[in-house]
Amino acid sequence: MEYLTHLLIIILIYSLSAQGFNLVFGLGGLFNFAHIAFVAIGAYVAAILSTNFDAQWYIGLFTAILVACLVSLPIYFLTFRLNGDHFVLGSFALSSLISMVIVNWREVTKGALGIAGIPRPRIFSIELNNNIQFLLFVFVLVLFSLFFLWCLFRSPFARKIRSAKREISYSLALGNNVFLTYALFFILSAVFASLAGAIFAYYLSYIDPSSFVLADMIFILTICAVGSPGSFWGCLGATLFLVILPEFLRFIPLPPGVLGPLRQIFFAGILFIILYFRRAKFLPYERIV
Amino acid sequence: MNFEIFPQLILNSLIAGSIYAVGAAGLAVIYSLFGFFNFAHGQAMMLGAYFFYLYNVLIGADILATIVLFLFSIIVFSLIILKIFILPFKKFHPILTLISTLCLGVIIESLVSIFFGVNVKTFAGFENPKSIEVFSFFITPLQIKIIFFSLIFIGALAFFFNSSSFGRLFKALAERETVGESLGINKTSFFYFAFATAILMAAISGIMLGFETNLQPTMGHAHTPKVFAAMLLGGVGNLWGTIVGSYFLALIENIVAGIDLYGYSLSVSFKDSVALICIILILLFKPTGLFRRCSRNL
Repeated sequence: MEYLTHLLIIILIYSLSAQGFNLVFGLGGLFNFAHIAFVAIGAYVAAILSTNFDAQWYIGLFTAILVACLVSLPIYFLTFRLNGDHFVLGSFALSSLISMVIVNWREVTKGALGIAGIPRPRIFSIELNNNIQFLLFVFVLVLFSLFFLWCLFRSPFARKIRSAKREISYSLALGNNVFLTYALFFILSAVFASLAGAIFAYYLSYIDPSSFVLADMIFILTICAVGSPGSFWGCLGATLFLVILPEFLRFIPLPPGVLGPLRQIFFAGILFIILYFRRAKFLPYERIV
Repeated sequence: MNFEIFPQLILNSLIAGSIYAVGAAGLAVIYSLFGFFNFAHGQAMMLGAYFFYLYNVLIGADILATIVLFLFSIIVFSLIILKIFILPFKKFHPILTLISTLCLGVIIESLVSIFFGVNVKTFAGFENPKSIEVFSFFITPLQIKIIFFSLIFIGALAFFFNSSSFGRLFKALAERETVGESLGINKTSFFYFAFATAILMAAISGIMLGFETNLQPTMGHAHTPKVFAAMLLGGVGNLWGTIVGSYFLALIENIVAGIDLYGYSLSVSFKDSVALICIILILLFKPTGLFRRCSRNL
């Protein structure tokens, strides 16, 4: 039962993060490498606030979102003018810079040791030490966010970014301010990523930089790819599928040094297979160079 | 600011730059011919070093047999990679190839850490601790060999692509594929040949890196941004520019790490961020690179 609760919480957190990625990658067609950096920022801001300043959970969540928005704005302004694969390279460099700052700013983030002892949220003087209580808390938060996202995916507003993904010049000709539309979706993506990161920090009560590396980016990208980019329900189903599936690897008796790499091979393999068989429809064809 | 360590810094950057240059030259060949960023390039470097480690240290073959086995395995590896991971995506969006090489990099790194373990390995037996003092700086014979061999490899590659008739066909193919084909170039065999050459260069630079530092599965991931930065500094797809760019990058890195500015010195951990900052600045302000030459042109 404890294990099932844990799985459900992880699924809810990852569904939020993956939907955030889906906003930019699925709807907008931009492969934003800095997504994992937003998750890391959310987790670290919440963790630092609640360990060093004894802040309440809502202050932690709110500040995490605010900081992630503030960081996402310059990243967006720097990288949006790059097109195609240069965007990927630019956001890759920026996200690596952010993770490097997290590892090396030892006074604040405690470096590679990570931050331990993050208190669980306390609602009406009940501390959510029980995992089932925490599951309810996460469920309510994620349900509201997902409802908002569902409305967003169906709204005419999403049609604007979809049109910009298909053919940017036509979209501009129709009077769509592509820069602003992308900016809003980029910030929203950062909001949900940092929210997921903050919940992640409160749940595990311990975070370290190794939770926000390239492998996690691959995992989120795999979720998005399996659920066909730009699809709300596909993304949710893929999260469910991909969090539960590698749990069976745990029951195979393997030495502990093999299990981690095997999981990574598993996700990268799934991503490659999806990419191979859907290569004609995965991203619209545009060749710049 | 102390200038006593300056010759040593230049020497160190010469060594690091040689290693980057061999790796980045391969990347430039791949970019100019295929038009995508190979995110598995660092992992190819790492794999080359591990192949060398496998044949030379674990199996214990002598140097000639090691070289033959190494060449064979790298070429077979690169051909398989090109067939499965790159050519199916060539006609589609360039980001697809980028993502597939990202997958490839993760798969290679995980496989290596399963088979060889995550522990640090060294090329034992090649270690030569005594260093020669020239004027006021120190250099080991191994480092002299690294600089010498990298100059040979870079020179051979640059001569081949810039001055041979074979290389001119490459240039034609890189510039405009259909026109190159209409000249009677067999496109596919050229692709295979160029990709194998590029991966071979990466693997050789990985061996040099293994001699200079240590072997670790994560060293590939750490060196991917450096190779990118070296290529972007010289201008994408510009071979000579890439070589100059890698020495330049190594020089900046060593200056950032080593210079002591009136008692305030930057931490060594900032050394890796130089490459990332270079990537961002070059992409934003000078996408053509430091040298005046248009892209996709060897």
